[in-house]
Amino acid sequence: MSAESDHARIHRLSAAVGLLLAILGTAVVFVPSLGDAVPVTTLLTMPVAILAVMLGLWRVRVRRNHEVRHLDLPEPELPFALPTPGDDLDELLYRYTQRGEGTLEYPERIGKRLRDVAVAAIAHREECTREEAVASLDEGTWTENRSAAAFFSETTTVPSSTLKDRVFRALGRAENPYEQQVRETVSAIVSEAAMVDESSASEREASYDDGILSRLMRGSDARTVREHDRKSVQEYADDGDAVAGTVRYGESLETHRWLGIEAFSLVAAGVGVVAAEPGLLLAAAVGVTYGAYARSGTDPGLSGLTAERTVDTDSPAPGEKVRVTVELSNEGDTFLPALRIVDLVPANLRVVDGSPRTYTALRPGARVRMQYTVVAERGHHEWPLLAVGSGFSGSVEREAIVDTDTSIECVPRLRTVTDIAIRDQTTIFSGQVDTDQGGSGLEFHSVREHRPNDPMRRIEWKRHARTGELATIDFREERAATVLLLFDAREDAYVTDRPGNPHALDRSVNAASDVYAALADAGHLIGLAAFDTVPCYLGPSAGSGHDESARRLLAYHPALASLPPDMLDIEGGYIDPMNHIRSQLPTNTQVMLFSPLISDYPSTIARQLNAAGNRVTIISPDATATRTMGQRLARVERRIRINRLREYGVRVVDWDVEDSLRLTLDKARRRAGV
Amino acid sequence: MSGESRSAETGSPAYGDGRPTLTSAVISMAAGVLALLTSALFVGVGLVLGVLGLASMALGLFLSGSRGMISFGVTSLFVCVLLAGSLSGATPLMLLTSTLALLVAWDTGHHAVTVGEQFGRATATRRGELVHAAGGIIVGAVGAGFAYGIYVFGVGDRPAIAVILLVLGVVGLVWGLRD
Repeated sequence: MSAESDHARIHRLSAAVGLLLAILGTAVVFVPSLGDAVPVTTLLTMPVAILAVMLGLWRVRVRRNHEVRHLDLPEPELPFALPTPGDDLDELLYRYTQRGEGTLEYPERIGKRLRDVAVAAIAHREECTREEAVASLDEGTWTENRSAAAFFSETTTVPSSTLKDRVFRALGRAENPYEQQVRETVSAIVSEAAMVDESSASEREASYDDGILSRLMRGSDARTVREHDRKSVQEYADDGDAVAGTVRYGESLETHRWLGIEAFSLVAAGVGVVAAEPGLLLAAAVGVTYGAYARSGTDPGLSGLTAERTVDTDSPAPGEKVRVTVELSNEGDTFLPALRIVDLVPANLRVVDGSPRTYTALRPGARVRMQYTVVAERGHHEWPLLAVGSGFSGSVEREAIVDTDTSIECVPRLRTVTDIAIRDQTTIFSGQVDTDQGGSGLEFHSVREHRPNDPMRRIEWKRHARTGELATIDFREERAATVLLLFDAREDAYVTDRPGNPHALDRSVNAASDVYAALADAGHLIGLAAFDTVPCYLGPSAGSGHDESARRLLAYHPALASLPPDMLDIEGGYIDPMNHIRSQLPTNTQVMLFSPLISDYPSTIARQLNAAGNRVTIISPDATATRTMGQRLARVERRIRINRLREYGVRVVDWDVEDSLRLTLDKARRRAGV
Repeated sequence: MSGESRSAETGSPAYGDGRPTLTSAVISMAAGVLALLTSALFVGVGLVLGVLGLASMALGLFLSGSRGMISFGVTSLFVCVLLAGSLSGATPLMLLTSTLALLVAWDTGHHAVTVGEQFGRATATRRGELVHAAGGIIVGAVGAGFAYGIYVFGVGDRPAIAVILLVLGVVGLVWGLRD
C-alpha cells in the first residue's frame, strides 16, 4: 500500500517538475533575458540529449513488450464449433504425437479403440467368430499392409523406413512414424469394412480438423469456427451494469495503442539538441502533442444508444431464412467517433448472408443500419447488441450492451411431406395399419359364421338369399399404432459432419416433426420423449391439443435445445436417462428412435426396448465424415453398430443427410419391396 | 446464397480474411510517401532508407497485415527525418510536415490492421476510418502549428537554455505520466 503510493507520489512529482520546467522553457523563449543567468555549455547539453535519447529507446522497448489490446468482438458469423465423430481420436493422437502428452496412456487407448473396430470389421467381413478375428489380428494375417498388420501383432515387424522417409524425417517434414502407422491401420480397417471411402483416393487427408486446432491452439490464426470458451451470447445477455433504459455497461479497457509514442519526440529532441537544429525540436513538439492526445482519451458516453431490430418473420419454421435489420441510433448529445458494433446473434441462428457487424462514427441523432440473413433453429431467440465505443484517439474502449425487444419464436410446423412406414405393432383403436385380423375395415378378409351382435351391414346378404344361412363378412382390420418418437439428446448427439451444418439432434428433431405430422394424419397415437439428464416425456395421444403440446415440446424443451448442453445453464442431476421413459411407456408401443449412433448407448437402449416387446425403428442421421483418420474410423464404428442392430431385428434407417429423409425412406421401402 | 456456400466450403471467416482495411492503409501509405518526400530528398542515404521503409509499410499494409512491418517502416522514415534534420538542414517547416506525416502514417497504419482484424475488408468501415484519420491529422496539425507559431513569433535568437528546459520538461512529463 505505502510502496504503491510512494510510486504514485514520485510519478506525480516528476510530472509536476517536468511541467514546471516546460513552462519555464516557454517563458525563456519569449523573455530571453530570463535565461541569461545560466551559461549553456556542452557539459550541460550532452547529458540532457543522452538522457532524452535513452528514455526514448526505453519507451521503444516498452512498446515492443506490450501487445495492443482491444475489447473482444464476438464472431457470430462463424459456424459454431461442434465436434465431428472421431475428433476425440484425432485429439488423442495430436496430444500424443505433437505435444508428447500421455506417453503411456494414449497409445493404449488408441490401440484398444482401433483393435475393437478391427475385430468387429474382420468378424463381419470374413463371417467368422470373434475369436478367429482376434487370432488373425494377432498373427497379422488380416491385411496386406505390413505396417497395419504390425500395429496389432507382435510377430510381424514394421517395415523399415525408406531412405526418402528418413531424409524427410530428418528435415522435419515427414509425419511422426506412429501417426503414419495409425493412419495406415485405419485405412486397412476401412477397406476391411468394405466401405467406399471417398477421400482416401483423391487427396491426402488432413490430420486434424480446424475445430480441433482451434480448441487446442488458442489464439492461433485458425479462426474458422466459434469456440465454446469465448464469452457466449448468454454471458453478454446477463453482463454489465444498467446505465440507461436499454443500455448496460460492460468492460472498459485501455488499449495501449499509443504506447511509446513519446519515443519519437524524445529521440528527435535529443538529436536536435546535439545538432543544435530547431527544426528537430519542433518535430519533437508534434510527438508531444500526440502523447497528450493519447492520454486525453476518455471513456466515451454510450448511454444514449438505442437499438431497433426488425425481422421479416418472427415465427419462422426451423431451417427457414429470416432477414434481420438492425438500426442503432445515437440519441445522446455527444459525437461518438468510433463505434464497433456486433449484433450478438445466438450460436444456433446461422448467419448466411450480410454482416451483423460494422464500424462507424455516429453524431448525435444519427443512426447506422446493418442487414443480414440467418437460418433459424428451434426455440425462443432474443439477443442483445454489442457496441464498443472509443474516443478519437482510441486509447480507451468501453463496452455497452444494448437490449432490443424483438424476438423470434421458431416452432416446428408439423406438416406432412411423406408417408412413414411403421412396424406392425398396433393398439385396439382403429387406424391405418393393416392387420391380419378380421373385423371391420375396407379390404375383404374372410367370411365366417354369424354370431349374435354382429353389425347388420356386415351380413352376407347374398348368401342369406341363396341358402337362408346367416354369415358375416370380416374385413381386414385397420388399427392405429402407438408410436413413441424418442430422441437421443445426450451430448453425443450434438455432432455434425462439418461445422456450419446442422447437428444430428437438429436434423433429428426437424425430421421428427415431419414424421409426427405423417403419423398423426394416419390416425396414430404419438408420444415424444428424449433421453437426457433432463427428463422429457409426452405420453402418446392424438388430437389438436396434443399436437400443440408436441410442437411446443419440440421447440422449447431444454433436453431438445438446439444449443449443446454445455452452453445452457440447465442443471440436470445425473439420472439414468431411460428411467423416466421406461416407467411411463405404455405396453404395445412402437418406438422410433432418432440417434446419430455415435456411441453404444443408444444401440443398447434399442435392443432392450426391442426385447421388451416394443418394436424399434432407428432413424439415424449420418453425422460422420472422412476428412481425418479419426472421422474415418468413427464412420466404420457406426456402420458396425448398424449392422449389429439389424442382426438383432431392429429396423435401422441410415439417413445420409445429403438426401432428405423422405428420399432415404423411399429408397429403404423400395429395397424392402414394400 | 453466395455467403452460405463460401463459408461452408472453405470455412473462411464470413467477414473477410483479416487483412488491413484499404481506406486506412491508403491514407497511411500516402502519409508515408509525404514523409519521405519532405525529408529524405535532402539526404542521399536517407532516400535508400526511406524507400526501404515505404516498402516495408506497403508489405505490412497490403499483404500480410503485420504491425511489426508497419512499425519498422515508420521507424525507418523517422531515421530519414533525423538525418534530414541534423545533416542537411532541412527547413523547420519541412521537418514539421514530415514528422506529422509519419506519425499519421503510424496511427492510421496500426488502425488499418486493427480494423482489418476485427471487421475485414468486406465490411463497410470507411466512415469510422475516415473519422479516426481526421482526428489524428487535426490534432497533429494543431500541435505542429502551435510549435511553429512559437518558433516564428518567439523573440530574437532563441536561447539554448530554453531548449534545454523544454526537453527536460518533456523528459519529466514522460517519466511521470508513464503507465
